[in-house]
Amino acid sequence: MAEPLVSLIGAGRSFDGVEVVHDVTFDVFDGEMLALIGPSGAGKSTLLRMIAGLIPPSSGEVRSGGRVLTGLNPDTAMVFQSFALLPWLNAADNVALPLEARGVPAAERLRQAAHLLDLVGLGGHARAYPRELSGGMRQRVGLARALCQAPRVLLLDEPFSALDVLTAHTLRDQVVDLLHEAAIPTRTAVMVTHSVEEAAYMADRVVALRANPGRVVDVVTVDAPRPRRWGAPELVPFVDRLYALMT
Amino acid sequence: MSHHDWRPLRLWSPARFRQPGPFDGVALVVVALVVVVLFIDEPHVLPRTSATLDLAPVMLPLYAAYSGLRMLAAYVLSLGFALSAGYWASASPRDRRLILPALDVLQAVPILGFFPAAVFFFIRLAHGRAIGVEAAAVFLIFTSQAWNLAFSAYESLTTIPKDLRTAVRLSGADGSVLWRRLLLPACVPRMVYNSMLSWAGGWYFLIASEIIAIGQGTWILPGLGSYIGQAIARGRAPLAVAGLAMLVAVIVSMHLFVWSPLEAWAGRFRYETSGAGEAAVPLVRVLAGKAPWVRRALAATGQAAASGLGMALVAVAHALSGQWMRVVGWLAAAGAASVLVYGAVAIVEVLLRPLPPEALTIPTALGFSFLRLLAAYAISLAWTVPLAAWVSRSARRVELVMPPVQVLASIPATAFFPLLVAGVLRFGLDLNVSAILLVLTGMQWYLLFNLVAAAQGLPEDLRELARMTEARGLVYLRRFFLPAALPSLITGSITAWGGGWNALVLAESVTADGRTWSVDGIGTLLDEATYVRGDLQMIVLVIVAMVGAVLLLNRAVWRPLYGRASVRYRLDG
Repeated sequence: MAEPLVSLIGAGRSFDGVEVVHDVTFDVFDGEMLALIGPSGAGKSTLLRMIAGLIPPSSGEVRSGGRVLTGLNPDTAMVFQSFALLPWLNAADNVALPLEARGVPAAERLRQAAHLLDLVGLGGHARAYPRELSGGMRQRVGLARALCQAPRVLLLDEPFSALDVLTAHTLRDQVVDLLHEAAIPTRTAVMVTHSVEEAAYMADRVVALRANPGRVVDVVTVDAPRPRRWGAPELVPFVDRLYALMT
Repeated sequence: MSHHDWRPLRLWSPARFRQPGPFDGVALVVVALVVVVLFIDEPHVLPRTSATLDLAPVMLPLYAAYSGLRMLAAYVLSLGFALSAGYWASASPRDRRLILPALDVLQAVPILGFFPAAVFFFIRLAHGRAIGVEAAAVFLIFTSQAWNLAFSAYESLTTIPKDLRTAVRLSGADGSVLWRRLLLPACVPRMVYNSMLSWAGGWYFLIASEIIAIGQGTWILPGLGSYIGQAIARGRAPLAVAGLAMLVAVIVSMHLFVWSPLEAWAGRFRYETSGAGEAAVPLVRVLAGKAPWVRRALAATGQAAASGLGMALVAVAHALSGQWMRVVGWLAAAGAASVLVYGAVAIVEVLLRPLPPEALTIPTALGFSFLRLLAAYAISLAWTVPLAAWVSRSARRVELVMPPVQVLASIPATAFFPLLVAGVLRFGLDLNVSAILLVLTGMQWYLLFNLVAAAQGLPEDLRELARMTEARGLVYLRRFFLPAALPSLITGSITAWGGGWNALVLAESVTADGRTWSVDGIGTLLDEATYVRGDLQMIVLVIVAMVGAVLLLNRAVWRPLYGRASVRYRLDG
């Protein structure tokens, strides 16, 4: 098996003496979509932030690209449940924020932002402000901003839970398609979700977690063929299995 | 939900009550020390002679410009201070425990009591040149503008939604990009709103500082305040009215062409994408309809004002993110240390002297003054609570009431002081009447603004419930509005009392018709000690007594009340 892009090795985390994550070990391999699933309190978001280098583990270690992570992980970018767009910047400026931080000239920033917005299906909305966009469109801007960093691993923190059912559905397909898209370098993703159906539908492997403290119960490989169909019979065994693991 | 944590703007925030500490005592001592240092050299008497001012009405625009420049200078200083202090407090939890109580005390103490001291200090600093008096006036205005701006900066920075912070951090932004893209924009809504309040407070103090017109014959601050004061002193009532008209015109046009466009522009810096107060219609648009030229002019002025403000802020931000902050910090620390040492020596000397006989009158004077404040507070409550309750019944009423109220509140009552006193004297009324009325003008608006903020914050479902249960009048007041508004009522009361103590310094002793009229009270004691006898010991004793009373009241009454109210009557569960 190839070298993993990210590894958690016995990683644990406590906040104010309360253990939130206990001895978690899993790998993220190149080209896969890995889902983290579990009830609230299972430390899903904490694990995602440990991979991003936002939260250092209090025990064990997080490795990225073979090296132990000591600060922000330069190989990752994150998509947030709340979109986390700056309300005072238009879509293009929001997308280009990582470029601006790196000192890329304005014209070049705009060019790349426009390209990314095209890619997520928001061509023509470059100058719109977040408040003028629907929830689904805002999350597309959030996605474009994350892709702008050309991360090796895309981190998705419950990216569809703030959206209505239909929009979420469209966006799920779009994320899966983008990861298989040759035009962008990002092929790997880690997604936090509490929806078993969503995990089975999108992921190649699912890490099932249990709460208090968050720990791994099992890692399930979803080897159903792609493209998949929501609610397809071939996904049912995986869904059942995941439900069984979590309860 | 954490990322919708955008509450109605408040002048005073509940967050500040969390850390009661021993710092208040320290602050009291420091304040006393500063006073002593300011007064330390003889002579202490500044004769209250009225310098002459050209009262020709054609000079009015010039005086308005002078007054405006003083305000602007103080405002720029305040912004710089507010951002530094707010950023500092938000960035360092350790220093925060010192900065927030310090701001709290500074906001609560009656700054006007220090004005004579500040004038001494700056005049000496300027070796007797007029610039010293100017600096003192700017300093005084600064003290009326800075604290609430600092709190608003602190609150803005600490309430940035967590995801937003994380997202910006993950994008790698720091230094000037961080300030330009996240920190400054996040400060805009609260700081614009508070700037408006700061300017209102600033006018009040500006006029006061000009009317006091301290000087030794040649010193005078040309401005609208001194103009009005002089006109009254010389019995030229029509000219005084002209001066007042000019002042009102300046304030109204600031609202039309600066604040109202700025407020509309600030809306885009809110996190909330829908909900209460999103479509604040600029007053000028309401007044002038939707003519295209109005809109163009509006956009242009809004843009100009905003970019001017923005440029100033970015400059400050650059200073903050660089080494400057450290330099400023060390300078401040060095300054504070020298004041402390110098002051400690001096205060021991002052307090070791035997108490003068006048010192025995301080407690009674304090009592009289307190009663006046109480009367003014009762009057304030009597009209602001019903009005706010009425406003709270529908969102539309806020839009109806607030614009004119904001303009009214900005018109400094200090400008009317001489007229008011002249009226009271003419009709043979007790001078207590004018004193209470003057104090009232320093109290009522704080109450009203806080109560209206609470009215705006009343959840829509409670409003509907009130309508459907046909709760009206006292029932509505008792069961709906007051419980919901109680925390705001208390914070508003604290600010109102702070404003009241300030006004007291001006209200109890007034010069009109060539003589001084006064009623027994702490303000009169201070006035006499400063201007009549130049008695450093009495000045220190009076100020310490007054500051002590303010802090005691906050500790013993307001803070416990607030603690209880905020537990019992929380709306956000």
